Amino acid sequence: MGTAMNLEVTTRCIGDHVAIVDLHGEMDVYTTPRAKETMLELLEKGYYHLVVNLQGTDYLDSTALGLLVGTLKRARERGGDLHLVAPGARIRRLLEITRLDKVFPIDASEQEATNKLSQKGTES
Amino acid sequence: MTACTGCQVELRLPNRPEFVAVARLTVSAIACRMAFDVDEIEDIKVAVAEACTNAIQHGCPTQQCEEHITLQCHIMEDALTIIVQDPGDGFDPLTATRQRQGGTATLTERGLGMLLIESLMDEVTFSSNPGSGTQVRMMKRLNATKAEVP
Repeated sequence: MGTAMNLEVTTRCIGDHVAIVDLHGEMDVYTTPRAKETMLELLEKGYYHLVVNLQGTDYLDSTALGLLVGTLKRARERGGDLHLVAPGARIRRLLEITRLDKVFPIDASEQEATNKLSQKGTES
Repeated sequence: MTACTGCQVELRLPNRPEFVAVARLTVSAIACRMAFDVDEIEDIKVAVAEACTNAIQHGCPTQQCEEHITLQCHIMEDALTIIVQDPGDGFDPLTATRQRQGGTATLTERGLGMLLIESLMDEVTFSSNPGSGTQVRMMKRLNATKAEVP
């Protein structure tokens, strides 16, 4: 199809181990592989503490949830973690249904998440 | 346009990930015309997208599969029934149920889609037979939430 992918993935790195991933748009089976590529690349470069900002995420499905779970596992295997930031009401509902709200640390702001992860980074 | 009771809409979609959005938008438009509220429409969109994603991921034996998946919407006075059918090899419903019952406590990445479908729709049935693919039939009742209020 000639339509553009409806997901924009941008990253910002803070220090040597913390990175913020902004996901703007829709995450489904078609668009999620782009986010996967970015997250795997960050882990490979040593950014084990990830902040995934969902403020601009309009839609998310089980493919995206699977990616987040997989990335969280990989990050924790390396002593890191993955925090979700500002998921909207719809995404929160999906996290609750799948009980992933008990698995992911969820923060209201990027600042809150980066502070927690930076602290972990200096401890590890 | 008001709801067209008894009408059916059928889509035949290429077995490709980019067409899941087409299925999502189609059911969203139908549900909107049936006067489902915003949250119910979102529930239907997610459930249909999950069923189509499953159909694409498991319903086609090769990446170059030329088969199609079908999406049928049956508009009724008090409900919308949606059927997603794939042409694949099918799956073992018992195994899938056991995987879902395991929940996400062990951080599983699989089975989330079926869990979402069952949670977001009012009635769901999966049928799968070797050689004839898998069918997901799901129904959302109009005003189901409001009717529960005493």
